[in-house]
Amino acid sequence: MIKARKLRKRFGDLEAVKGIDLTVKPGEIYGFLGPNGAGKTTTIRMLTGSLKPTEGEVEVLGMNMRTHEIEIKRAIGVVPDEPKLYENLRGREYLEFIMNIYRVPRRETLKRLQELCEAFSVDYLNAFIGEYSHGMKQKLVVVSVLMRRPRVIFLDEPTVGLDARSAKILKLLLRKYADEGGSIFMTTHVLEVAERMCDRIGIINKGILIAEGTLEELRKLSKEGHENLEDLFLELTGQGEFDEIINAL
Amino acid sequence: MMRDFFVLLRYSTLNMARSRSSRKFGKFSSSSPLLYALTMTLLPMVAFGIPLYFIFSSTINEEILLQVLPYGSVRIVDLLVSSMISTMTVLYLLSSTPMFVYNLFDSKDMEMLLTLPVRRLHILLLKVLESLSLSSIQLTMLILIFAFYGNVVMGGTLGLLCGFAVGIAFWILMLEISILLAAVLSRFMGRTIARRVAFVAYFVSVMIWVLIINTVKPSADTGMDVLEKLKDYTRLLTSVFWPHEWFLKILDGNAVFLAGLVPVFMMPIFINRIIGNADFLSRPSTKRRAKPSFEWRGSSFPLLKKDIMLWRREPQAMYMLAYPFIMAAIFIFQGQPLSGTIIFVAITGLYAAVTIGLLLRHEMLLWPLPRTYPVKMWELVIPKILIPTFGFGVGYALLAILYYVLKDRSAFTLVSIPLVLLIIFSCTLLGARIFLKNPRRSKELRRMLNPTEMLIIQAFVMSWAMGSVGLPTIFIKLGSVSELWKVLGVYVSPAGTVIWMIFYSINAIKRIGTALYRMENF
Repeated sequence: MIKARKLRKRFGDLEAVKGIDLTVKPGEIYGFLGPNGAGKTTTIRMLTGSLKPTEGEVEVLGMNMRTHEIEIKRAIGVVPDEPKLYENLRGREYLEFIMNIYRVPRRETLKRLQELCEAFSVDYLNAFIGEYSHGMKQKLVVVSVLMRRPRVIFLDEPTVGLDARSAKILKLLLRKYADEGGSIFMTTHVLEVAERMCDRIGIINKGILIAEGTLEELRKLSKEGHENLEDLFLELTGQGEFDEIINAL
Repeated sequence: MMRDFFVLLRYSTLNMARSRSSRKFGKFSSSSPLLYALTMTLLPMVAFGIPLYFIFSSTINEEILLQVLPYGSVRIVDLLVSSMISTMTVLYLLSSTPMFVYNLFDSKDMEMLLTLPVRRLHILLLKVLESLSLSSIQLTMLILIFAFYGNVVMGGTLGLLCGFAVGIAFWILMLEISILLAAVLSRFMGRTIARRVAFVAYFVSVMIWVLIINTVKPSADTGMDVLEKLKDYTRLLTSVFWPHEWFLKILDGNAVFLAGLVPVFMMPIFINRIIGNADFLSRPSTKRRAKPSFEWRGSSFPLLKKDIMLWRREPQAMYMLAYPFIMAAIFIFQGQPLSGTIIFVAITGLYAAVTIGLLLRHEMLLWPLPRTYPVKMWELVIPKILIPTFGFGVGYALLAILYYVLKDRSAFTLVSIPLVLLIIFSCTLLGARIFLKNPRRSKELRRMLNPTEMLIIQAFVMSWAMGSVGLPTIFIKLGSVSELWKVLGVYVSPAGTVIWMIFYSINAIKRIGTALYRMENF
């Protein structure tokens, strides 16, 4: 469902992503991990068509991003890292705008929206978005994506700002969508979430995909025999030296 | 206690100075941020105030000012100064109070400041001082009027200095009142409402100015004397009920009114009490518990619908729509269609450029989210061009047709419609091009376009308006010019300007498309 081949992105002299290859199959939740500045958001932006790759190809749902950008965008859902929305619109109007611009089927979308609003406690749609808290905006973005029921969903740090109940519901829903054949591509810094939810995990560091596979496959890469994802991640990204730091503090 | 405040002020000004200053001020602003901020605030006051004072005082005869009016014991100077100060005070409170509330809510550092071990009063004071530079010209005028009054009633340099000192004391009182009102209002207003109220109040104050100037103006038709016309105001304006009267009476030598200074010192205590538990943070909406039932209104043009909604909710939209039409209507129906058209085009040309900037700004604030919409980048821009072009253009067409039907059936009126439409369209594209040259602009409307950009827009607007509408009309009216000049003015000038605008627009469309396509890294 999602394929990236030799994906590369340069910003002037800085090469943020250095030739990444990855594949996400139908029914799979793919966790994309990496330290700050590793190239996660740049990659997700190239995969969703909001950033043009310097080199390489992106394919989503069998369509090439260069030739079918609009069709791909219509078919996917994106939850960005920051819930930036039109502050002078009401929540209701924003959802209406999304429904119209994505040309979704009316009856079933409205029904799903009603259910999602109840599930995520979104009962503030008549207020202006400018008055919302970060969490309220995040829930609105999540609802606006899930109501369309896209076959491929990209989520950049989706649980940030969500309360425990909403975060739990989101995780369960994503699992359900994946089990029904959808593809989920998500980045997160919460390694417990990735460990529990993701079928496969890719770890990016300094623009290079340094490891990829199931949790079992990643464990085999550990030279120090780490079992949990946190220790594995820190070992693989070369950030595992703590003793000296802790002693010095 | 005040040490905390000065620490806050130092780092706040350092932050502000770095974000505002150009490279040439870099060292100065970093090494002495307080001095830099003070200079930047006082500079316009001094540059504007000193020449203004001399112009103002040199045009007025002091002997006349000290004459007592035929009604009551009020001198001309008392009436003049009281009316000016009371007007300015109302305008100042009207515009500054909601602006303070908005600035409080809009402060990105507020959450951090509230965690610091400093008093809330100091945070509030800091935020007020941060926004002070925005109203420095109003303050200058207020203080100068007191200085002028001191000079007239006391005489000499001592009078001037006393007037200046009393003016500062009065200004501090006004500032305290607006802080007090802001502190109270911040408990009831949300961020969005405060922003709207701030802008509406700002434009209402401008309208009040225009209204007052027109009311006080002597009427040529009736020959009414200005003083006679002001007679009704005198009792009201010179009443000791007004705080400014206490301060004016001090300058007049009435020691009893020194008590007027007491509120200046007492007010911080009240403010401190009121803001004791204020959080200065934007509260989540209380419009909850709305049952999520939807009546989805489908639209074939969702982007246009969304942009119209956003435009309609811009606090200054109504003013921007009303002002040029009112101005043009006044001139056109007074029998000056050319002046009306030129004024309309000059105003709407600028507003069209600002409007598209405002609408593009909405997308920039969300960037890169709009790139994930299943539309081409051009489709995002088209509604933003249509809104000002048709909003102002159709309005003008209606006005012109109305004039044509009711007043004068001249061909100029009808020909001007497509020309004005083309000028507004070109100005909209000009605004988009200028905006996209630097998409990282201030969220504040008043800082969105810099003075150079405003001048560029005005220069283009006036050139297009004069070339296409102004020159032909002038040459038609001039009887005694050679045939060559007439041909140049009546035919070549509008034709050339129209061709220029068309070529400019085609070029601008291409460049806007390229700019948006390249703007992936914003």
